[in-house]
Amino acid sequence: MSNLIKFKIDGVECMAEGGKFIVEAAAENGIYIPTLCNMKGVKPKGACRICSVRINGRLMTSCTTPVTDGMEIESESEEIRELRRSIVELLFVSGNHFCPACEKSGSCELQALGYYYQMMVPRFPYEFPQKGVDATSSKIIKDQNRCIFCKRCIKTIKDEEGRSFFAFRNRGHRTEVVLDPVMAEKMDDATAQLAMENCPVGSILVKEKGFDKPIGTRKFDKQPIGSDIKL
Amino acid sequence: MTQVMNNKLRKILDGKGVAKDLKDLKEWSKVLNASRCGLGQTAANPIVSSLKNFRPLYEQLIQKDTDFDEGFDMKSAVQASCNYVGRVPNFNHH
Ligand code: SF4
Ligand code: SF4
Ligand code: FES
Repeated sequence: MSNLIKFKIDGVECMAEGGKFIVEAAAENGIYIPTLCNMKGVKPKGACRICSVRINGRLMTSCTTPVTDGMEIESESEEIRELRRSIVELLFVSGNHFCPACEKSGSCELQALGYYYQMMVPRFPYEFPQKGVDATSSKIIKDQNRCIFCKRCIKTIKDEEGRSFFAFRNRGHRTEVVLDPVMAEKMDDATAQLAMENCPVGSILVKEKGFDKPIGTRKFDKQPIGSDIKL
Repeated sequence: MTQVMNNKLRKILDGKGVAKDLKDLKEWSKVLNASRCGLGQTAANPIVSSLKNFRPLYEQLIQKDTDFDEGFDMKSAVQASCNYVGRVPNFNHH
Protein backbone atom coordinates (compact mmCIF):
# COMPACT_ATOMS: atom_id res chain seq x y z
CA MET A 1 0.00 0.00 0.00
CA SER A 2 2.54 2.55 -1.05
CA ASN A 3 0.86 4.99 -3.41
CA LEU A 4 -2.42 5.68 -1.65
CA ILE A 5 -4.42 8.43 -3.26
CA LYS A 6 -7.53 10.35 -2.29
CA PHE A 7 -10.60 10.83 -4.43
CA LYS A 8 -14.30 11.55 -3.96
CA ILE A 9 -17.39 9.67 -4.98
CA ASP A 10 -20.55 11.76 -4.66
CA GLY A 11 -18.70 13.92 -2.20
CA VAL A 12 -17.58 11.04 0.00
CA GLU A 13 -13.85 10.97 0.68
CA CYS A 14 -12.30 7.71 -0.49
CA MET A 15 -8.84 6.22 -0.53
CA ALA A 16 -7.30 3.58 -2.73
CA GLU A 17 -4.15 2.59 -4.48
CA GLY A 18 -3.57 4.79 -7.51
CA GLY A 19 -4.18 3.22 -10.91
CA LYS A 20 -6.99 0.91 -9.73
CA PHE A 21 -10.14 0.93 -11.79
CA ILE A 22 -12.87 3.06 -10.26
CA VAL A 23 -15.33 0.17 -9.68
CA GLU A 24 -12.74 -1.71 -7.64
CA ALA A 25 -11.54 1.36 -5.80
CA ALA A 26 -15.16 2.24 -4.99
CA ALA A 27 -15.86 -1.30 -3.77
CA GLU A 28 -12.90 -1.09 -1.41
CA ASN A 29 -14.51 1.99 0.07
CA GLY A 30 -17.86 0.29 0.42
CA ILE A 31 -19.46 1.99 -2.55
CA TYR A 32 -21.31 -0.17 -5.03
CA ILE A 33 -21.28 0.77 -8.69
CA PRO A 34 -23.32 -1.71 -10.73
CA THR A 35 -21.51 -3.74 -13.39
CA LEU A 36 -22.57 -6.36 -15.92
CA CYS A 37 -19.80 -6.95 -18.41
CA ASN A 38 -17.00 -6.48 -15.93
CA MET A 39 -15.33 -9.41 -14.19
CA LYS A 40 -12.70 -9.24 -11.53
CA GLY A 41 -9.29 -10.18 -12.87
CA VAL A 42 -10.30 -9.91 -16.52
CA LYS A 43 -9.24 -7.03 -18.73
CA PRO A 44 -12.26 -4.67 -18.79
CA LYS A 45 -13.94 -3.83 -22.05
CA GLY A 46 -16.55 -1.25 -21.15
CA ALA A 47 -19.23 -2.90 -23.23
CA CYS A 48 -22.43 -2.61 -21.23
CA ARG A 49 -22.11 0.99 -19.96
CA ILE A 50 -24.05 0.22 -16.78
CA CYS A 51 -21.14 1.40 -14.64
CA SER A 52 -21.14 4.88 -16.22
CA VAL A 53 -20.19 7.75 -13.93
CA ARG A 54 -19.64 11.43 -14.56
CA ILE A 55 -16.12 12.79 -14.15
CA ASN A 56 -15.35 16.41 -14.99
CA GLY A 57 -18.64 16.64 -16.82
CA ARG A 58 -17.93 13.62 -19.00
CA LEU A 59 -19.56 10.22 -18.92
CA MET A 60 -16.96 7.50 -18.38
CA THR A 61 -17.21 3.80 -17.59
CA SER A 62 -15.85 3.16 -14.13
CA CYS A 63 -14.70 -0.37 -14.96
CA THR A 64 -12.20 0.94 -17.52
CA THR A 65 -11.14 4.22 -15.93
CA PRO A 66 -8.37 4.19 -13.32
CA VAL A 67 -8.69 6.46 -10.28
CA THR A 68 -6.34 9.38 -10.02
CA ASP A 69 -5.49 11.66 -7.14
CA GLY A 70 -8.16 14.23 -6.40
CA MET A 71 -10.66 12.78 -8.86
CA GLU A 72 -14.28 13.76 -8.25
CA ILE A 73 -16.72 11.11 -9.35
CA GLU A 74 -20.47 11.44 -9.65
CA SER A 75 -22.19 8.09 -9.39
CA GLU A 76 -25.57 8.24 -7.65
CA SER A 77 -27.01 11.43 -9.11
CA GLU A 78 -30.55 11.19 -10.42
CA GLU A 79 -29.22 11.54 -13.97
CA ILE A 80 -26.82 8.62 -13.66
CA ARG A 81 -29.35 6.41 -11.87
CA GLU A 82 -31.83 7.13 -14.64
CA LEU A 83 -29.23 6.29 -17.27
CA ARG A 84 -28.44 2.96 -15.60
CA ARG A 85 -32.11 2.20 -15.20
CA SER A 86 -32.61 2.89 -18.92
CA ILE A 87 -29.80 0.51 -19.81
CA VAL A 88 -31.34 -2.26 -17.71
CA GLU A 89 -34.74 -1.66 -19.31
CA LEU A 90 -33.14 -1.59 -22.74
CA LEU A 91 -31.52 -4.97 -22.16
CA PHE A 92 -34.88 -6.40 -21.15
CA VAL A 93 -36.68 -5.18 -24.27
CA SER A 94 -33.95 -6.06 -26.75
CA GLY A 95 -33.99 -9.73 -25.81
CA ASN A 96 -36.72 -12.08 -24.67
CA HIS A 97 -36.56 -12.39 -20.91
CA PHE A 98 -39.27 -14.48 -19.33
CA CYS A 99 -37.81 -14.68 -15.86
CA PRO A 100 -40.36 -16.98 -14.21
CA ALA A 101 -39.43 -19.75 -16.64
CA CYS A 102 -35.71 -19.02 -16.68
CA GLU A 103 -33.16 -21.40 -15.18
CA LYS A 104 -31.01 -18.49 -14.04
CA SER A 105 -33.82 -16.68 -12.28
CA GLY A 106 -32.68 -15.63 -8.81
CA SER A 107 -29.02 -15.89 -9.73
CA CYS A 108 -29.18 -13.61 -12.75
CA GLU A 109 -27.35 -10.30 -12.58
CA LEU A 110 -29.63 -8.59 -15.06
CA GLN A 111 -32.72 -9.63 -13.13
CA ALA A 112 -31.04 -8.57 -9.89
CA LEU A 113 -30.37 -5.12 -11.36
CA GLY A 114 -34.00 -4.95 -12.48
CA TYR A 115 -34.96 -5.39 -8.83
CA TYR A 116 -32.22 -3.06 -7.65
CA TYR A 117 -33.63 -0.27 -9.79
CA GLN A 118 -37.20 -1.27 -8.95
CA MET A 119 -38.08 -1.63 -12.57
CA MET A 120 -41.76 -2.44 -13.04
CA VAL A 121 -42.22 -2.25 -16.78
CA PRO A 122 -39.59 -1.01 -19.23
CA ARG A 123 -40.37 2.42 -20.68
CA PHE A 124 -39.29 1.15 -24.09
CA PRO A 125 -41.60 -1.01 -26.17
CA TYR A 126 -40.70 -4.70 -26.22
CA GLU A 127 -39.06 -5.67 -29.45
CA PHE A 128 -39.79 -9.38 -29.17
CA PRO A 129 -36.96 -10.21 -31.57
CA GLN A 130 -36.87 -13.59 -33.23
CA LYS A 131 -33.99 -15.44 -31.64
CA GLY A 132 -32.97 -19.04 -31.52
CA VAL A 133 -31.72 -21.59 -29.04
CA ASP A 134 -28.69 -23.64 -29.99
CA ALA A 135 -28.73 -27.04 -28.32
CA THR A 136 -26.41 -28.84 -30.73
CA SER A 137 -23.54 -29.05 -28.27
CA SER A 138 -23.57 -32.09 -26.02
CA LYS A 139 -22.64 -30.01 -23.00
CA ILE A 140 -24.48 -26.73 -23.09
CA ILE A 141 -27.50 -24.88 -24.38
CA LYS A 142 -26.95 -21.40 -25.80
CA ASP A 143 -30.17 -19.43 -25.49
CA GLN A 144 -29.87 -16.33 -27.69
CA ASN A 145 -33.04 -14.85 -26.27
CA ARG A 146 -31.21 -14.01 -23.07
CA CYS A 147 -27.74 -13.00 -24.29
CA ILE A 148 -26.76 -9.42 -23.45
CA PHE A 149 -23.49 -9.44 -25.46
CA CYS A 150 -21.33 -8.76 -22.45
CA LYS A 151 -18.50 -10.89 -23.92
CA ARG A 152 -17.69 -12.43 -20.57
CA CYS A 153 -17.82 -15.91 -22.10
CA ILE A 154 -15.62 -14.91 -25.03
CA LYS A 155 -13.02 -13.42 -22.74
CA THR A 156 -12.91 -16.13 -20.11
CA ILE A 157 -13.81 -19.48 -21.65
CA LYS A 158 -10.72 -20.59 -23.56
CA ASP A 159 -8.78 -23.80 -24.16
CA GLU A 160 -5.16 -24.39 -23.10
CA GLU A 161 -3.95 -22.63 -26.21
CA GLY A 162 -5.99 -19.54 -25.53
CA ARG A 163 -8.62 -20.11 -28.18
CA SER A 164 -12.10 -18.88 -27.25
CA PHE A 165 -15.02 -21.28 -27.27
CA PHE A 166 -17.41 -18.45 -27.96
CA ALA A 167 -17.37 -15.84 -30.72
CA PHE A 168 -19.42 -13.05 -32.26
CA ARG A 169 -21.40 -13.66 -35.39
CA ASN A 170 -23.11 -11.05 -37.62
CA ARG A 171 -23.30 -7.36 -36.86
CA GLY A 172 -25.71 -4.66 -35.83
CA HIS A 173 -29.00 -5.90 -34.43
CA ARG A 174 -28.33 -9.36 -35.88
CA THR A 175 -25.28 -9.81 -33.67
CA GLU A 176 -25.05 -13.11 -31.84
CA VAL A 177 -22.58 -14.68 -29.45
CA VAL A 178 -22.27 -18.28 -30.55
CA LEU A 179 -20.47 -21.39 -29.44
CA ASP A 180 -17.88 -22.42 -32.01
CA PRO A 181 -19.06 -25.84 -33.26
CA VAL A 182 -15.52 -27.19 -33.67
CA MET A 183 -14.46 -26.01 -30.23
CA ALA A 184 -17.73 -27.29 -28.77
CA GLU A 185 -16.60 -30.87 -29.34
CA LYS A 186 -13.66 -30.32 -27.06
CA MET A 187 -15.62 -28.76 -24.23
CA ASP A 188 -15.38 -30.68 -20.97
CA ASP A 189 -17.79 -30.60 -18.04
CA ALA A 190 -15.73 -28.18 -15.98
CA THR A 191 -15.51 -25.69 -18.83
CA ALA A 192 -19.23 -25.93 -19.46
CA GLN A 193 -19.92 -25.30 -15.79
CA LEU A 194 -17.59 -22.30 -15.74
CA ALA A 195 -19.21 -20.88 -18.86
CA MET A 196 -22.61 -21.06 -17.18
CA GLU A 197 -21.29 -19.42 -14.03
CA ASN A 198 -19.47 -16.64 -15.88
CA CYS A 199 -22.50 -15.70 -17.92
CA PRO A 200 -24.31 -12.97 -15.96
CA VAL A 201 -27.64 -14.07 -17.41
CA GLY A 202 -29.20 -17.38 -18.41
CA SER A 203 -27.82 -17.53 -21.92
CA ILE A 204 -25.41 -20.39 -21.25
CA LEU A 205 -26.91 -23.42 -19.51
CA VAL A 206 -25.27 -26.72 -18.72
CA LYS A 207 -27.41 -29.47 -20.19
CA GLU A 208 -29.46 -31.55 -17.79
CA LYS A 209 -28.86 -29.15 -14.93
CA GLY A 210 -31.78 -26.83 -15.26
CA PHE A 211 -33.12 -25.48 -12.01
CA ASP A 212 -30.47 -26.88 -9.71
CA LYS A 213 -30.87 -24.39 -6.87
CA PRO A 214 -34.17 -24.22 -5.02
CA ILE A 215 -35.83 -20.86 -4.41
CA GLY A 216 -34.45 -19.32 -1.27
CA THR A 217 -30.89 -20.49 -1.87
CA ARG A 218 -30.21 -18.65 -5.10
CA LYS A 219 -27.64 -15.89 -5.32
CA PHE A 220 -29.90 -12.84 -5.00
CA ASP A 221 -32.81 -14.37 -3.06
CA LYS A 222 -32.05 -12.82 0.31
CA GLN A 223 -29.82 -9.86 -0.46
CA PRO A 224 -30.03 -7.50 -3.42
CA ILE A 225 -27.11 -7.26 -5.81
CA GLY A 226 -24.25 -5.15 -4.46
CA SER A 227 -24.97 -5.98 -0.79
CA ASP A 228 -21.57 -7.58 -0.41
CA ILE A 229 -19.97 -4.24 -1.25
CA LYS A 230 -22.22 -1.67 0.39
CA LEU A 231 -21.17 -0.56 3.83
CA MET B 1 -31.13 1.61 -28.45
CA THR B 2 -30.86 2.68 -32.07
CA GLN B 3 -33.30 -0.12 -32.89
CA VAL B 4 -35.78 1.12 -30.29
CA MET B 5 -35.54 4.67 -31.64
CA ASN B 6 -35.83 3.51 -35.22
CA ASN B 7 -39.05 1.65 -34.39
CA LYS B 8 -40.43 4.74 -32.72
CA LEU B 9 -39.53 6.92 -35.70
CA ARG B 10 -41.26 4.46 -38.00
CA LYS B 11 -44.36 4.61 -35.85
CA ILE B 12 -44.42 8.38 -36.29
CA LEU B 13 -43.73 8.18 -40.03
CA ASP B 14 -46.58 5.70 -40.37
CA GLY B 15 -48.87 8.35 -38.96
CA LYS B 16 -49.44 6.38 -35.75
CA GLY B 17 -47.45 8.70 -33.51
CA VAL B 18 -48.80 10.89 -30.73
CA ALA B 19 -47.30 13.88 -28.93
CA LYS B 20 -45.68 11.67 -26.31
CA ASP B 21 -43.69 9.85 -28.99
CA LEU B 22 -41.85 13.05 -29.90
CA LYS B 23 -41.06 13.65 -26.25
CA ASP B 24 -39.85 10.06 -25.83
CA LEU B 25 -37.51 10.31 -28.80
CA LYS B 26 -35.84 13.33 -27.32
CA GLU B 27 -35.65 11.85 -23.84
CA TRP B 28 -34.43 8.43 -24.98
CA SER B 29 -31.67 9.88 -27.13
CA LYS B 30 -29.84 10.72 -23.90
CA VAL B 31 -29.03 7.07 -23.29
CA LEU B 32 -26.84 7.11 -26.36
CA ASN B 33 -24.58 9.73 -24.80
CA ALA B 34 -23.14 6.87 -22.76
CA SER B 35 -22.09 4.94 -25.86
CA ARG B 36 -18.61 3.59 -26.14
CA CYS B 37 -17.67 5.19 -29.45
CA GLY B 38 -18.41 8.33 -31.39
CA LEU B 39 -20.63 6.42 -33.77
CA GLY B 40 -23.05 5.54 -31.00
CA GLN B 41 -22.77 8.88 -29.26
CA THR B 42 -23.86 10.73 -32.37
CA ALA B 43 -26.32 8.13 -33.65
CA ALA B 44 -29.34 10.04 -32.37
CA ASN B 45 -28.19 13.42 -33.68
CA PRO B 46 -30.24 13.35 -36.89
CA ILE B 47 -33.38 12.73 -34.87
CA VAL B 48 -32.56 15.21 -32.13
CA SER B 49 -31.56 18.04 -34.45
CA SER B 50 -34.37 17.49 -36.93
CA LEU B 51 -36.80 17.52 -34.02
CA LYS B 52 -35.32 20.80 -32.93
CA ASN B 53 -35.18 22.49 -36.30
CA PHE B 54 -38.08 20.94 -38.19
CA ARG B 55 -40.54 20.36 -35.38
CA PRO B 56 -43.60 21.44 -37.44
CA LEU B 57 -42.94 18.64 -39.94
CA TYR B 58 -43.06 16.10 -37.14
CA GLU B 59 -46.16 17.68 -35.69
CA GLN B 60 -47.98 17.39 -38.97
CA LEU B 61 -47.46 13.66 -38.82
CA ILE B 62 -48.72 12.92 -35.34
CA GLN B 63 -52.29 12.45 -34.22
CA LYS B 64 -53.47 15.38 -32.19
CA ASP B 65 -56.85 14.27 -30.92
CA THR B 66 -55.55 11.36 -28.88
CA ASP B 67 -52.71 10.65 -26.49
CA PHE B 68 -52.76 6.93 -27.11
CA ASP B 69 -52.97 4.93 -30.29
CA GLU B 70 -54.62 1.58 -29.59
CA GLY B 71 -53.54 0.23 -32.93
CA PHE B 72 -56.97 -1.28 -33.59
CA ASP B 73 -60.63 -0.51 -33.17
CA MET B 74 -62.22 -2.61 -30.44
CA LYS B 75 -65.76 -2.20 -31.70
CA SER B 76 -65.08 -3.34 -35.22
CA ALA B 77 -62.97 -6.23 -33.92
CA VAL B 78 -65.83 -7.43 -31.69
CA GLN B 79 -68.29 -6.96 -34.53
CA ALA B 80 -66.11 -9.00 -36.87
CA SER B 81 -65.71 -11.89 -34.46
CA CYS B 82 -69.44 -11.84 -33.65
CA ASN B 83 -70.27 -11.98 -37.33
CA TYR B 84 -68.03 -14.96 -37.60
CA VAL B 85 -69.63 -17.00 -34.82
CA GLY B 86 -73.12 -15.71 -35.43
CA ARG B 87 -73.64 -13.77 -32.18
CA VAL B 88 -75.05 -10.34 -31.50
CA PRO B 89 -72.47 -8.01 -29.94
CA ASN B 90 -73.43 -6.29 -26.69
CA PHE B 91 -71.53 -3.01 -26.84
CA ASN B 92 -73.15 -1.55 -23.74
CA HIS B 93 -71.09 -3.74 -21.52
CA HIS B 94 -67.73 -2.93 -22.99
S1 SF4 C 1 -31.58 -14.27 -18.15
FE1 SF4 C 1 -32.07 -13.16 -16.27
S2 SF4 C 1 -33.36 -11.48 -16.94
FE2 SF4 C 1 -33.29 -12.96 -18.61
S3 SF4 C 1 -35.07 -14.30 -18.28
FE3 SF4 C 1 -33.35 -15.24 -17.24
S4 SF4 C 1 -33.51 -14.49 -15.14
FE4 SF4 C 1 -34.73 -13.14 -16.39
S1 SF4 D 1 -23.59 -15.71 -23.50
FE1 SF4 D 1 -23.64 -14.79 -21.51
S2 SF4 D 1 -21.50 -14.35 -21.09
FE2 SF4 D 1 -21.64 -14.68 -23.28
S3 SF4 D 1 -21.97 -12.65 -24.16
FE3 SF4 D 1 -23.98 -13.55 -23.86
S4 SF4 D 1 -24.62 -12.81 -21.87
FE4 SF4 D 1 -22.41 -12.50 -21.98
S1 FES E 1 -19.33 -2.97 -16.29
FE1 FES E 1 -18.37 -1.19 -17.04
S2 FES E 1 -19.14 -1.10 -19.05
FE2 FES E 1 -19.94 -2.96 -18.35
